[in-house]
Amino acid sequence: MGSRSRSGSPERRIAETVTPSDRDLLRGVQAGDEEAFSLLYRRWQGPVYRFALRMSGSPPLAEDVTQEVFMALLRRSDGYDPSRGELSSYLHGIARNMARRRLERERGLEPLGDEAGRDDPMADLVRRERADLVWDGILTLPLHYREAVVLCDLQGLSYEEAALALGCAVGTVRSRLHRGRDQLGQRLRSAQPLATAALSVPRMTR
Amino acid sequence: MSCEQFEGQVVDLVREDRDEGREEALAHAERCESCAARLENERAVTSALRAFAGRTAGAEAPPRIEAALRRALREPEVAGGAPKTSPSRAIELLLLAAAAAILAAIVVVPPPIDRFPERASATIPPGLPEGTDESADFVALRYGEDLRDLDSLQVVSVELPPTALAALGWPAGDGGASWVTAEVIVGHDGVARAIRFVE
Repeated sequence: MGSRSRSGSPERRIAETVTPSDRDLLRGVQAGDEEAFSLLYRRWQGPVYRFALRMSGSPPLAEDVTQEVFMALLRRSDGYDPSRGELSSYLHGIARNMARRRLERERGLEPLGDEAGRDDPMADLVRRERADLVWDGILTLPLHYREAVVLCDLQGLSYEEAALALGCAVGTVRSRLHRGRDQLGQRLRSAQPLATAALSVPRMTR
Repeated sequence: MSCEQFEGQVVDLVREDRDEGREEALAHAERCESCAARLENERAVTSALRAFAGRTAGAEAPPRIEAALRRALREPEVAGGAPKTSPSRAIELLLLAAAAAILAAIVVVPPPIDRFPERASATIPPGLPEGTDESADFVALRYGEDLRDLDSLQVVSVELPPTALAALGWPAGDGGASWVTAEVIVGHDGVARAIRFVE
C-alpha cells in the first residue's frame, strides 16, 4: 500500500513490499488475480473458519460459512471500506451474519457437529472438545452473548473491532461480553461438581 | 472504589484491556471479600477460555474450500462482481421442504440411478419418467459439488409454488400463477442436488 511505504526503515519497506496489504490483495482480487485471492484467503480463512466453528461446534457449518464469506468477498470485493476498520472486522461481520442465519434456521434440529464424518480429524477434535465443559457452555449461551464471547475472548478482537463486526455500539459489546461471561462462569461452576462426581464413581467401584 | 464500580471493571481487569483504574480495582479486591471472589471467578473463566482458544487454534478450513473458490473466481460473473445465480442452502432447504410435503401425495420415484453419467448441469440422467420434457437442463443446487462423485441418485417429480421459481432466480409470473412441475435429483442421503422445471 502506497501510503504505508512512504515511511519506516528500509527493512520495513522491504517487508511491506514482500507482504502485500489486504487492500493490495483486494485490488488484485477485483482484477481477477487468483494468486492475490489465494494469499488473502490463506491469511483470513483460519480466523473465519474458527469463528464459525466456535460459534456452532459444527465443522460442516464452519466450512459452509467460510466458503460463503469468501464468495461474498469475490462478488462484492468493493464492499469493504477501509476507512471503517480492518478487513478482519468486515469478514467477521459477514461470517457472523451467515453463521447466525444458519444457527437460527437449524435450531431444534439434531445437535450440530454430530453429522461430521467419523474419520475426519477435525470431527475428532470437535467431538473431544465438545465433551469439554467450556465449549458446551459457550454453545448453550444465547447467540448475542455467544458472539461477544467468541469474538472478544476467543478470536481476540478488540471491543471496537467486535462492535464493527456486530454492527452495534462498543458499550453493547462490553455489556454482552460481561453477561455472557457471567452466564458461562455460572454454568462452569454448576457443571464442575457433577463432572467431578461422575469421575469419582469408577474409582469407588474398583 | 465501590463494589458497583468494581463490577463494571472486573471483566476489563482480567482481560487486561485497559490500565486505567487497574491498581485501584485490585486494591479494592484486596479489601473486599466478595469482590475478591468475583475477581477469582472471572480469572477462572478467562483461563478456561484461553485454554479452549489454544486447543482450537489450529482449526482451519479444508483445502477443497480454497479450490472451489478459485474455480468460482474463474467464472466471469463472479470475477466481475455480479451476483452469482446459484441458489443458497436456504433455497435448497425450502425446495426440500416443499418437495417432502408433496412427495407424500404425488411422488413418482423411478428406479435408482447408479452413477450420474456426465456433467450435472447439462446432462439428463437415465431413468427419467416417460413423457418428461427433456429439453430443459438440470441446475445444480449445491455449489462446488460434482454429481458424478455420488454413488446413487434418484429423480423425483414434484410440484412447487411459484415462489420457488423466484427464489431460484426464474421469473415467477404475476403472482397468480399455478404450481409448477419440477424434477429434482436427490442423492442417497435424501438431499436435493439439482433441479429442472418441466413447465
